[in-house]
Amino acid sequence: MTKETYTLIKDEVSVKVSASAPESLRNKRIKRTGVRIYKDGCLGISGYLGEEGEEAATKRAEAALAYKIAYPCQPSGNLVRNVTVGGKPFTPGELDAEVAAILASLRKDFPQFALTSPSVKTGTYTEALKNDAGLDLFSAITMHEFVFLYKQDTSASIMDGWFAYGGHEYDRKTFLDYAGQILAAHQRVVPLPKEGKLPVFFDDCDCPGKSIFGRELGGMNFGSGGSLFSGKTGQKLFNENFTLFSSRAEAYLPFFDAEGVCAEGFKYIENGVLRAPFADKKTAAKFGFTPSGTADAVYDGTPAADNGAMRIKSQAKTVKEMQGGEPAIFVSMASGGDFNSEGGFGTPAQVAFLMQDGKLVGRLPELQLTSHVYDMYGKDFLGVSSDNIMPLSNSRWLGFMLNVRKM
Amino acid sequence: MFNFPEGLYSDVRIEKVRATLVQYLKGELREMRERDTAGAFIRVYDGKRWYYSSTTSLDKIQEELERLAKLASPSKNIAEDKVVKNMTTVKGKPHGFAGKDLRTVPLAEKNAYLSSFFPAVTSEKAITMWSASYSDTFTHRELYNSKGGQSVCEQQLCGMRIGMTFAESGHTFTEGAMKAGGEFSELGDFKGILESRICQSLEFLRNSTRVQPGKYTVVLSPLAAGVFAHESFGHKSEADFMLGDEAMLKEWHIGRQLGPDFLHISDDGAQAGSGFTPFDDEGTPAKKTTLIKNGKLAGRLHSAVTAAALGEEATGNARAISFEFEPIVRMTTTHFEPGNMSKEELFAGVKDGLFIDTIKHGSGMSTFTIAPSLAYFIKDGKVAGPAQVSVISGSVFDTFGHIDAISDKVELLSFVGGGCGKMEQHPLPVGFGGPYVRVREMSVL
Repeated sequence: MTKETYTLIKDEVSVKVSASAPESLRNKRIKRTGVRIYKDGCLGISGYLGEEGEEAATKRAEAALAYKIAYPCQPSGNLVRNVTVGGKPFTPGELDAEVAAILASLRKDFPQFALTSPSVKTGTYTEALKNDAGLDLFSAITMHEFVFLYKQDTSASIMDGWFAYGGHEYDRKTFLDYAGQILAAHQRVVPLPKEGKLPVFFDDCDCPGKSIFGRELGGMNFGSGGSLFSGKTGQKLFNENFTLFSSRAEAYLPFFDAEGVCAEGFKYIENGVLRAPFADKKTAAKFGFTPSGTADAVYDGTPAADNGAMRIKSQAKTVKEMQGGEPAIFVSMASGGDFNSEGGFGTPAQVAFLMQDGKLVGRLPELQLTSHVYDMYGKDFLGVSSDNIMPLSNSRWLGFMLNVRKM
Repeated sequence: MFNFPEGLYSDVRIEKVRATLVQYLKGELREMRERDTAGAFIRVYDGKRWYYSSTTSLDKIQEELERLAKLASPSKNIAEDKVVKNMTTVKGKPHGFAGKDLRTVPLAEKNAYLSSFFPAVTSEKAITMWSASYSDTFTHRELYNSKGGQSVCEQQLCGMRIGMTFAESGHTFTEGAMKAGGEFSELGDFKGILESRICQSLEFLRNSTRVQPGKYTVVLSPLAAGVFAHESFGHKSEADFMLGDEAMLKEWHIGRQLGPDFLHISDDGAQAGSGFTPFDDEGTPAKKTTLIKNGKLAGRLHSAVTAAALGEEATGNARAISFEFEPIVRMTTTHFEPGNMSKEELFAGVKDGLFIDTIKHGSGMSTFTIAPSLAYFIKDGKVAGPAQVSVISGSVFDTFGHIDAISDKVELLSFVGGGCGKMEQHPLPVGFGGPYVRVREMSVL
């Protein structure tokens, strides 16, 4: 029998902004602990909130073995590692003052915009996985997440667009410069140069065109034959320059997954060749895959493979070089689109900008974008830039040639 | 119960939740748990700012109240603040759940019931991958405020979902069947729902063809119409989006004509199902709010805060997804009211269009979107074969004017395993549904 504890601590301060003014200040410290008992190929789990309750949760987890949840794998063991990333989070007073300073600056420079924010957050997120097989993993990540929604004073929409920053290090000037670039571009309405096939760039961390890999590369579905890509392992399906891999570090996640697997850089697609789906240990064992190190779990839940850390390998070119002097489109917001069952892609682009030489030059009308997964990541794949969209974040420019027309 | 600090408005919301989850992946048990959690959300308001804290230490709520009070600036006139005036003083009678308590149904019985549907799935060879889940929650919620208001209510929701991936001859299709309700006994007709969904999905897998992008007349099923009402209009009726926004208030003024005179939309927290909210998370009791009446904007959804700001009444729509979050303005059960013709007449009026039966997801801003799952061509008034559609969309400002028919019967739906997302709070259980709704000039990809 092996006992394992999985502890998640969220220690967070946030400020909510309404009508360009701070509205509230919120503190949160929530500790959740799961107790896992591995015995005779089965897994029993229970959990508790707060500081006390391990003894009772252990008893419940032992009792839960009677449910016979199969776990025909060894728990991870014999690894001790402690990684702390990021500096100090803001104190409540510091965050309050920082938000006030940002708002004051933007109100002065862009008085025609109203700003709201569901939460400007700073916090330390701690995860620890320990068991009596010698596993002792600890991760503490300090993150800042500044999300602002904007709308022009003449607009009757809920919002006209957004700008955001997420990362470990923060610099006010860099953030304001970025916000200023978006807001200035928003005010300059420009026409779509032409309808038809055009270079279209997205934030590579927030691109609806990536969703198909989360859906179709799930290990259970892939192994069972229900995926668009089932049975195609080893085949060159995509562009030579397309490599899809897992990076928990770039996604601001702990270096270990919910099963204690560390697999930074795990490749799903390499130079256009399909290599592997994402899989937790149990699914990997069932189908003969390799665990991708991307299992996720709620504190008291069974770990299951997740797709949250998929990244596309970047190229040597900057977005300016990728544009090659031609105009391109940057899609800031494309909500509600999807791939159909055959891989066809369609999405509205609610907020899009015209881009020239890597700079946003004006706001485009709402657009409709269409393509197909094998075109987007095949002949129409432009790649991921070497430079970041915003210097403080991990987001890069992801480009495709897409069919574009006005809404 | 608590010593609320002087010169401030404050309230304490305590939530105790029993949640059950049984989950299978392709017949293998993945989760089986009963989880008991408790936590509190504490708010302090000084007339200018709100100060919040969430905690799992219920024995330290008083300390948290005092800590937050030190951050605030007390005011002698706090009782005169218009937000504070809008907060409830009602000591509501405890609202218990009247039916059979889900906590008394043994876990083994819930598991056995879920498992009884597996043969319908495993006997179909084209289903290559499937998942099945049963989930329920029983929530006990208490709210106490510094004006003496208090409410205690209990509510519950349970449901099942089976998700299936169909694959044949190189084609794949993913669909699901779901049933949810306030009581275990309400899940009784799931077998018929599941079998029907399997038949529809097989037909779609084998015979669906790609729709040519363009503008179509679209008939929305009660499910799709519910999403349409929720995404295209419901979010715009949430008054927190209008605070300090003259342009939006002008555009969305009460009395504005938005659609035909047979168009009516309501939000009703008293409606049983997944949107049931007998008291909201500020203690305001549920009420039915008419949002559109005879095609004209007739009301908005409010918290006590937004109602004070706009000089309107709180509507019982201040909701939080859990004790970790502050209440914000959210929908409950939002739906079209019955319309102007029968379902048969509604379909008969379509020469060349689409019928959206089930959906994958929806979104709404100035442009709303619905990603259909099961969709069909309509030719000369008849459903004429399955259609592959990526997304339908339209301008919120224009689309209500393009509604030209609404059927005369309403079907309200409940859901488990998902819900509405707003800002950082997702998923919040909501209900929706409606009659069949016909809309012209929908953009289809």
